[in-house]
Amino acid sequence: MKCPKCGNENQSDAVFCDQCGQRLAQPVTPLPEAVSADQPTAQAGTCTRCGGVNTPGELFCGECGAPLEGPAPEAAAVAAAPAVMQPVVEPVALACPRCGAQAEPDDAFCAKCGAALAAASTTETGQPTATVNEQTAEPAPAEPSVAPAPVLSPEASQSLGEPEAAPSAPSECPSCGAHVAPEDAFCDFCGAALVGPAAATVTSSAPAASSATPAKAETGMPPAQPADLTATAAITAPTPVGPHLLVPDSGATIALSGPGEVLVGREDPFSNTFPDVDLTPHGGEAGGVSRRHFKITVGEGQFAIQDLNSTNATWLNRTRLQPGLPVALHDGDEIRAGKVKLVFRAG
Amino acid sequence: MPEHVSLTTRLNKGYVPVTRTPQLVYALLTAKPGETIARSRMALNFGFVLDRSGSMRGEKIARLIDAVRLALGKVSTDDLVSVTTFNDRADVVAAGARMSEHRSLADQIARIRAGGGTQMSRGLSLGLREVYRRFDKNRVNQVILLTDGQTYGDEEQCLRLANEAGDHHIAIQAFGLGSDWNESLLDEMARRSSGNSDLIESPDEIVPLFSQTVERSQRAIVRNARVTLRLVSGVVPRQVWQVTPVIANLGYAPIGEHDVQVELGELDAEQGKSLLVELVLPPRQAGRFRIAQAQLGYDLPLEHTSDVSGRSDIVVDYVTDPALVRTYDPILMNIVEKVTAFKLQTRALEEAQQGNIIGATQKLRAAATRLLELGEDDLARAANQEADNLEQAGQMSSGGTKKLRYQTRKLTQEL
Repeated sequence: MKCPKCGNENQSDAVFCDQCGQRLAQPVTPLPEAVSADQPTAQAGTCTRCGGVNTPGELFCGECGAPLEGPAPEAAAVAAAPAVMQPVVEPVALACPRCGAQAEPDDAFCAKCGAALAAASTTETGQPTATVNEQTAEPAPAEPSVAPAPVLSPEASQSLGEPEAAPSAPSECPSCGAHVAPEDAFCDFCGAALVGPAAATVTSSAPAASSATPAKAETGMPPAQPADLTATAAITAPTPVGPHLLVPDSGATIALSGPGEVLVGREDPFSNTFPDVDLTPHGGEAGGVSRRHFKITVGEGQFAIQDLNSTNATWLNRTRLQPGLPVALHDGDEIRAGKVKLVFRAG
Repeated sequence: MPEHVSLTTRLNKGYVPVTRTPQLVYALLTAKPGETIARSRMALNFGFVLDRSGSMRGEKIARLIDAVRLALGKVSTDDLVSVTTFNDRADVVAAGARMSEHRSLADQIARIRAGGGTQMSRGLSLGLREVYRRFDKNRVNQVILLTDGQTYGDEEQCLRLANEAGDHHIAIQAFGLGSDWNESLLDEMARRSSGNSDLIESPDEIVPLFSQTVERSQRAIVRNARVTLRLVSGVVPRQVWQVTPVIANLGYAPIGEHDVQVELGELDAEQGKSLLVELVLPPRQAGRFRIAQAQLGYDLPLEHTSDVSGRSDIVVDYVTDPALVRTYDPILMNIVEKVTAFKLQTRALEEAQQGNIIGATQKLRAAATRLLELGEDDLARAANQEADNLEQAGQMSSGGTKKLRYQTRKLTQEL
């Protein structure tokens, strides 16, 4: 398969280009408008009244309007489905809760920073938390009643001498193999859940439809993994007062002084460039951050962002900013400078 | 900081079965202005364009005069208003001006008399000119058109004017009174100008409908609302329906590899808008999956700003437990049933127009069954009556067609 960006030839089943990392379009399996009539009755959504064929899951027959039976789980489908479709799968290397380095499942301490790995698996109250071992268990369907969400309480972290709860999600989607950021709750490509089921979103009347703040309301504890940093999910790491940038990859926060303009970029003494916020310690160089990448204007309760004609562009909520054009910035907005992802917090 | 407009999502079921075939789920997306802006009101630039042909004589013209006077009682002294009438010719009864500047407007309206033929384009042309003359992008610029009869020979001119109105951001709210008017023409004029069309069955209904139109326009505080759906690989949108304030097939536009955008247009301060999105899901193994993220973008003309909502995750659990997959959200079930009734009657009208009498009759009977189940006895009777008309005379009645076409759109107003 040819990469549309760099032209490199990749294997036919490649999800990303070997050369430049561009996501490759997968051959799309054409979805039938209606399932063929030789399918089992319930699955094909065949209307028992008029014989009309409907897509499984359709509530009413498109021909005669009669109510339809919903599809039932198929035992054969469960047995036959490839393992690659498992959303939470095979043992993956344990990530250190302190520095994020990979470790073997049976390691007691992180080989890189020495943090205790086993300690992170229990809280003060002895409640199990989200560990890789739990994730590898058979993904049980979430119960309508509220089950304890896989969270790491900040109190427990502090008692262990850990600065903050660090992500322990896989860097690759276990379902489709796509690269995922540590803070992602779901794979961007196939949608598979990357952390344990957030049971608090499930109620019997309106099941699991919207899940901006999964576990907090029911458990009284903030989730270890925000469902979506760009949504309204709470961030558990201690944050400075006032506007600041959050680096989701490391959990670090960078205060923005104001009022006035705050220059964000990469420090370069040779060209005498000293931005107010230096992204070098946050992967700025490898991530393609320009010396003068973007600036944030801090006013009284109002904020704006402006790309400074950077080489690798500034993205706001996945929309590329036009160089030199200020755009309003709001709490929770996702900023990407080159490949470095940031989240803006107003206070 | 609270959002100016919120976007909420819910599914008809949170658990879907693990199957070998694609399956359908329904997502309800509701965009609603928050409390901070819901009490705001837009200023108006309204032009009434009123049919005073001979067929309007008697109660119709009397109720129309009452309706305009009452509607004008609801506008503020700063709102811009004009009144134009038409029969074979057109007259500007009151030129576009602030309410406070109008002298003896009530008397001018009371002197409107019915008589003559119907040349709608003449009235529309003059009425649009009055609104355009005082156009203000910070106001709701609208023409309220009412007619009770067919306009002869100038349909194309009416459509051209509707195009021009749309190009200049002037919406035409087109009302047809009784049963002898061209619903295809009025629907198309409304569509081209981003307005609405509606049926007024009896003269008594003109008064409340005009007042509601004025109030609704004052509440149109959000413009250019659009929902972006970011779908994960393998999830395909099938159809997108607006379900409130009225049912309509919205469609969607692809804007990326997996992204689609749905245009909502204006949002009512109190009611907002709801969408029903039909999504075809690919087969998956058991587990929790995000199938889409939804985000709302919009303009706030009163605040001279644009904004976007936070992203809402739409999540399902693929399960193997047959008991779990039989749990449905009753509100979604009810909405889907109403949309189904609307779809059936729409297809029935289309098939009747194409001469497929048998197909149209079957669809009408099916729609009647759904409407009966929904407790809409009056509409169910109308659908059955039109099915009888088709079987016996080979065609539907003009009044029955209009009733079905316009009333089934409003089924979701009684949620």
